[in-house]
Amino acid sequence: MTPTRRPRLPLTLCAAALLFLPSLRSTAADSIAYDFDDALTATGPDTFQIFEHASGTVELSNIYRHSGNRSVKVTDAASSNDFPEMQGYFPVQSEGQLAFAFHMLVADTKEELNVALAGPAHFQLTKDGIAFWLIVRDGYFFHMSDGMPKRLGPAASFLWYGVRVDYDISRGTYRLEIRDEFNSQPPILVESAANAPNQPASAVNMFSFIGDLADNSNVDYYIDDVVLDVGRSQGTSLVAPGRRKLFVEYWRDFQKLRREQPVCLPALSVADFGLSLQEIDAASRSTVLQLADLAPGDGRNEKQIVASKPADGVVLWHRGCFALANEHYDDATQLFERAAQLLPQSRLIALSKVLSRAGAGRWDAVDRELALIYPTWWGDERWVAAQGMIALRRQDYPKAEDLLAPFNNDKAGRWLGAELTTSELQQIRTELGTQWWAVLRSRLLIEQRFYLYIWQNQLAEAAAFATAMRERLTAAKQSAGLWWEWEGNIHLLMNDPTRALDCYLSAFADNVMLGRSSTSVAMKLSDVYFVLGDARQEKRFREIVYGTLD
Amino acid sequence: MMLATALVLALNSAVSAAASSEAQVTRHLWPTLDVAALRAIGPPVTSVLVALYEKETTPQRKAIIAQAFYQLGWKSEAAKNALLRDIATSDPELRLEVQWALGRVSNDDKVVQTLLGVMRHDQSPLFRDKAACALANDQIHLTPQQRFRMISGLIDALADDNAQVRHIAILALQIQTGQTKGFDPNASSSDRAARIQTWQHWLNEYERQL
Repeated sequence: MTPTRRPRLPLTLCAAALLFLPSLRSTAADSIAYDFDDALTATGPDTFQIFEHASGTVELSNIYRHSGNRSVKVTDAASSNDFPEMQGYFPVQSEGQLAFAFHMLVADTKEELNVALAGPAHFQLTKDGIAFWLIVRDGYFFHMSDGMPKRLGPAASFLWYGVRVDYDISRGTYRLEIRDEFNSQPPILVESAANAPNQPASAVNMFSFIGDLADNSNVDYYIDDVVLDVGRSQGTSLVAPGRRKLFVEYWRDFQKLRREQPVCLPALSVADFGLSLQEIDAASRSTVLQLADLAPGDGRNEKQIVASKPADGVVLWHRGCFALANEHYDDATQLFERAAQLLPQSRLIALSKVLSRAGAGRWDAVDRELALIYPTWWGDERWVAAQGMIALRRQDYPKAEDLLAPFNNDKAGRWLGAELTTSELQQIRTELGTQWWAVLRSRLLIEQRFYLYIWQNQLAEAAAFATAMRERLTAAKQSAGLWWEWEGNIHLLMNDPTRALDCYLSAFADNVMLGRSSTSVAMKLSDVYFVLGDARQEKRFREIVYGTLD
Repeated sequence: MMLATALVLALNSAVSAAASSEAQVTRHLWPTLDVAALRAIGPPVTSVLVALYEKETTPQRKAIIAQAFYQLGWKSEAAKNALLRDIATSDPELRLEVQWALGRVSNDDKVVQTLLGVMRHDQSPLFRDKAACALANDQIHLTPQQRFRMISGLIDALADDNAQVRHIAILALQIQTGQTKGFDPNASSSDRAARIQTWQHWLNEYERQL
C-alpha cells in the first residue's frame, strides 16, 4: 500500500527516538489516520515520538491487528523506573470539536495502562493539560473526569475494543463510546462527561499511550487504527478502519508484483539489523531507522545523518539495496558483505546478500547461506516473500522424485517435515553424518518449489504438492504438521476456509503431540476463525498465541 | 567447635559480602549522587541504602540517601520506616528530603496522615508548605481508595483556621484534581463554607465512584 496524505492540518516533524514511520491514510481534509501497516513508507512529516526505557518497548506487531497486517504493541515492565510511551502530535486545538478514536487489545486487563489526550501544559491535571484520560486496570475501564477516576465497565482480555472520544473543546466535555469487536458486552456510553480537570476550553495537541505511572505494571497491549478528526459532529462516522489483512492477502499482494528481480525487503525494527535496545541509544535508533527508510539511492540525505557504527552499516546496506534494485548483483553482494562486517548479527543484511546471490544466479551460495539464516526468519512474512523471489528467479528445479530421493530412508525421512530451527539444524549433522547437506539442500529446494507454484498462481498444484508431502510423511509415520499447515495456507489462498481449518487443526494436533511451538498455527487458526465468523474460537486461539510468545 | 567455626566463617562471609555491597553503593552516593548507577543495580539496592541510612550519622549524607530513595521511586517498607524516624528531625534539609521521599517508597495511610498532620500543625510554614507539595506530587503508589482518603484530608484542611494551611491545601487539591471549585483561602468564612460544601458534594460523588 502506498498511502498518500493531504492533511489540511500540518503535522509537526518530531525529533529523535522514532521506532517506525507509520503509514498514513488521507481521509477527509482535516483528519489523520494511522494504521501502522506497511511501515517504513516515507510519507512526509511525521508525528510520533516513541519513548522506551529499560524493559519497556513500543514496536510493530503482526501478531494481533485489528485491520491491515500490523498494529503497535506497547509493553511495560514493573520496576523499570519509567514507562514506554507512544506519543503523537497535532496542531493545538483550543476550540470546536475533535474526535479521537482507536482500537485496543489488552493481553491482561488486570495490568494497568493509560491513554490520554493532552494540550500544551502536557500531562497534568490542569487547563490545557490532560483533557481525556482513559485507564485500564483490575479488569475494568476507568476515565478521569471532573478530577476523579470513574469506573466505566468491565474490560476483557484479548478482545479488540473500539474507543471513540468526541471532545467539545469549548465546553470541556466529551462523549465516550467503547465497544468490543463482537458486541459481546453492552457498549460503554458516556454523554457530556466533564474533561479530566473539569475546565472548559482546555486545548489539546497530543495523544499518548503508556503503561502505568507507578511502575508496577507488566502490561502488553496493542493499538491499531488511531484516527484524529477535527470539526466532525459527534456521533458521525470517522474513517472506517481497513479490514484486517490476513497473511494470505500479503501473499496475494506479492503475487501481483511477481518479482523476478530480487529486491531488498523492508526493515521493521532495529532488531532486523541485529541491534537491541541495550546496544543502541535513542539517537542512534532514530538514525538507523531514518536511514533504513530512505528511498534507494538517496545518498544526499545520508550525509546529514550522524555517523556511527550502526549507521554506517545501514548506509552500506542501503547502498547495496540500490545496487540490487538496479541489477548490479556483484556490487550489491560486496556492499552487503561490508555491511555485515559492521552489523554481523543482522539477519536482514544476511538475507539481502542471499537475494543478491540469487540475482547473480550463484545457486550454490544461495543454498548454503539460506540454510544458515533459515532459523532466524522462521515465522516472518518477509521470509516467504524472499523465498518467492528466489524461486521465481531460479525457476528450474529438479523433478519431485529427484528432490525426494535423499529422504528415502527412515533416518532422513523426518527432515522433510521438520521445522528448521537452530537446534534442528545442529541435529541434522549429528543424525545424518555426511548425508546432511544433501538432505538439507533438498528440503530447501522442495520448499522453494512449493513457493514457485504459489507465486505462479498454480494453487491447485501447490495444494497437491503439499498433500503429497504430508501423505508421504504420514505413511512413513513421521510428523506431517508442517505440511498440514502449508496445505492449509493454500486452501485459505483459494478462499476455502473450511478446508483450511481442517488442515490447521491437524497441524495443531501434530504440534501438541510433539510438544512443538504452536504460535504459527495458532495465529492461522485465529485468522481462519475470524474469516468463518467464530468469535469465540478466534479469541481462544488469540490467547493460545499469547501464551506461546516469550 | 567445628560448627561454631563454620558459623563464624559464614557470618564473616555474609558481613564481608554486605560490606562490599555497601562500598559499591557508597561510590554512587558521594561525592556525587549517581541514581542511574544505583538503578542499574536493581531493587536489591534499596536494602543496602536502608542499611547505610541507618548507620549514617550526618544529616547531609542522610539527605542524599533520601534523595536516592526519592529518585528511585521503589516501594520499600524498610525505607519507609527508616525515613519516618526522621520525620521530625531538626535538620531542615534532611526533614524536607524525608517528607518528599516517603510517598515515593510507600503507599501507607500512616505516611499520608503524617504529612497531613505536618501540613496542618507544624510550627514552620516551610515544612507545612513542603508537606503539601509532597501530598500533591509525590504519593505515587497510592491505591484509588488511599488517594480518596488523602483528598478527603486535603478538603478537611480547607476549613483550617490558618490561612496558609487553607492556601496550600487548595493548591494541593488543584494539582490532584485540576480544579479549585472557586475556593479562595482568603474569602469570607461564609464563602469558604459554601465552597467547602461544593467540595464535599464532589467528594461524595468520588466515594460513590469507588
